[in-house]
Amino acid sequence: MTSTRRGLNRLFLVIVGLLLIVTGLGVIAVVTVPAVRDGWSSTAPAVQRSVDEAHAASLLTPEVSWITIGVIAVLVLLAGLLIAFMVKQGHGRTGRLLRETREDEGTTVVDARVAETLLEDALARRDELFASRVTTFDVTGTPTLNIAVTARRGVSPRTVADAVDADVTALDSVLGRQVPAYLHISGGFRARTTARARVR
Amino acid sequence: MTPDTTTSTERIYKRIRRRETTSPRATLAIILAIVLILAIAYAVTETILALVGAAPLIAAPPAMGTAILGLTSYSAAPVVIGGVVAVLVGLLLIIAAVRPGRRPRHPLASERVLTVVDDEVIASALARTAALEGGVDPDHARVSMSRRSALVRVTPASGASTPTSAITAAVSWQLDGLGLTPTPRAKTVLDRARVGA
Repeated sequence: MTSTRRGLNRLFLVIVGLLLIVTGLGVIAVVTVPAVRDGWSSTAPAVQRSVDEAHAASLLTPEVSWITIGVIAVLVLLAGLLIAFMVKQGHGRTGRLLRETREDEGTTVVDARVAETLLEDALARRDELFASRVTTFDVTGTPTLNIAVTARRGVSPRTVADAVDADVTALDSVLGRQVPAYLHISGGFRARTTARARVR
Repeated sequence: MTPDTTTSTERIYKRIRRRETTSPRATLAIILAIVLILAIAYAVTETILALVGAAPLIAAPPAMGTAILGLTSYSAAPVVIGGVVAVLVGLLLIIAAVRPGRRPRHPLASERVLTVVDDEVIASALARTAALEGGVDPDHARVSMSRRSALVRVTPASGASTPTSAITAAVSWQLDGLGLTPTPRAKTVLDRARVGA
């Protein structure tokens, strides 16, 4: 239901994975393959020299080089991007269910809490449910109800789905609109540890 | 409902069905991001310490660079082990990124809402049916669910005969009624009878 960009998560895993594989293989090659090993040993002094020269050429004060400042800036920027990436996970809740504008009648806005409260009240009266919670998420621009229910032990998910289906259909007639709704039936820890329900 | 809203609802349901039955890989991505942020924080700290001329925590950046360039001067074994570990972790990350990461859930056919059920709930309901059909105590029927199968394990009451085919039929009938995608196939096996069970 959330707006988490899953493709981005997987891309991130691929990038870090590839970097690790390339680095790992490179390191192994340097110490085991004679040709790579010799090449590494013969180029190392030249690299060291050019880095030292670049450092000396970019001195800001006798000790501080522009390169050092640049390295810090790039690292901080990278850390900022990673933090933004983490914070972006799991969002997408919305407070608005419907918004409709008509030329002659003005704008009607229905708060998400209207549907959430109506549904939660209806579901609370269902004996086959242990607990229920309704939230509203923005799914690619469309407000969608997210109904999470915990079924009592042994209750058929068919019974639960039909009950919720009926309650949502009743909500449709109250709202005069059909809002997309997602039902997730789970067996929570509490439902598992309490007594088996007696349902006919 | 107008045809337009029907198709957009179907599109949304399709998206949610896909997303709710597979892993977002968020936990792994967040752990990885935290590890990288800690590594960056360490690198920045060492750089600043070197900048102000303070003693390094482990090694100053120029010393690190020299150490990397002098990779060939170390004994090979620990370097190779480090490399192999990096390659293995990298492979695991790519496998996690490419595999769908299915959650133990099944979409269930319903009219108005899009329904997804945890396998645990389905197993619990099937176990109840199996216990009733087999005439055993509810605690003596257990069901393990996978994407395409439901395995019923029944511990028969001592001395009584337990009709496995009838249990399988009852469980299959219940599964058909649920309209799961994909519909798991039921199978019943008897556990060894225990005295007093």
